[in-house]
Amino acid sequence: MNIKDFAEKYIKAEYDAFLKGDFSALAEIEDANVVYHITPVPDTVGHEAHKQFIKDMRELISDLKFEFKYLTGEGNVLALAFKSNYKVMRDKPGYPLPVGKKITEDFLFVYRLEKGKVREAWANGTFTITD
Amino acid sequence: MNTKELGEKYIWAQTEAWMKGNVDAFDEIETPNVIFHSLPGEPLVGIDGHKQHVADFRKAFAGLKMEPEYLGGEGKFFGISGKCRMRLTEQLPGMPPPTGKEISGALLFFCRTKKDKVVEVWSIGSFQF
Repeated sequence: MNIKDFAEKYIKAEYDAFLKGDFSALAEIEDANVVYHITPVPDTVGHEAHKQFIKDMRELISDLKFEFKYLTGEGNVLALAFKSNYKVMRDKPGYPLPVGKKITEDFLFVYRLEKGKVREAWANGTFTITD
Repeated sequence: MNTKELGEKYIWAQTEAWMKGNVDAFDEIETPNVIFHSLPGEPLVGIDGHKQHVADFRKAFAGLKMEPEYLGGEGKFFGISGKCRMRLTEQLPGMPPPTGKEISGALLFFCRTKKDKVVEVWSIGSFQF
C-alpha cells in the first residue's frame, strides 16, 4: 500500500470512529503503543487511550462535521490537514473548550508509521469560536 | 544530506533568522520559489517573501525565546515542532493587541525537500495569551 492509500484508509477509520463509534478499522492501522502529541492536551499513549479520547470527545460535543485532506507524504511519514465544526455540550477537566459554543478547528497532523501502522503523530492548530 | 541533517540545518536557519535577524540564512536551505502553506491561510510563495515576513514579525516581538525540535523524517520529508515565548510590542495580523505580557506559542512544520533544499512547508501554530 502506498502512503496516500494508507492516508485514505486512516481517514476512513477516523470517520468511522468519530462519527459512528466504530473503532475496528482504527484498531487495524494503529500500533498498540501509538503516541499522539496533540497540542494543547497531554500526550495520548496507546491505541486504547486514543479510543478513550475519541469516546470522550463524542460525549462532549455534538453536530460534529470534519474533513481530512491529504497534503503529502513519502515512505513512513505523511501530513494531513484537518478541519472540523462542532458544538461543545459538556465541560471536562483538561479539555479547554467553552460549553455551549460552536467551534471551528483547523489543524495540521504529521504521522510516522512503523510496520504499516501509525506509531506516532503530532498535531497542532487553532480553535475559533464561531458563535 | 539525510533528512535529520536537513532538519537540523533548517532549525539552524530559522534560529538565525528569528533570533539574530539573519534572514539570509534561509538562502542556505530554502529554494528561491519555496512555498509556505500557513494553514488555514493563503500560501506564501518565494524566499524573499519569507524573509520579509520574518523581518516584519521580528519588529513586533520582544524577548523572543525558541525551542525547536526535529521530530522525524524520511525520503524527502521531515517534521519540526517548536515552542516559543515572546512579548508583542506592535499589532500583527491575526494576533491580539499588544499588551506587553508574555505569550507562548506551539508550532508544527512539515517540510518537503529537493536536492538538499526545502521547497515546500506546511505549518500551523497555536498561541496562548
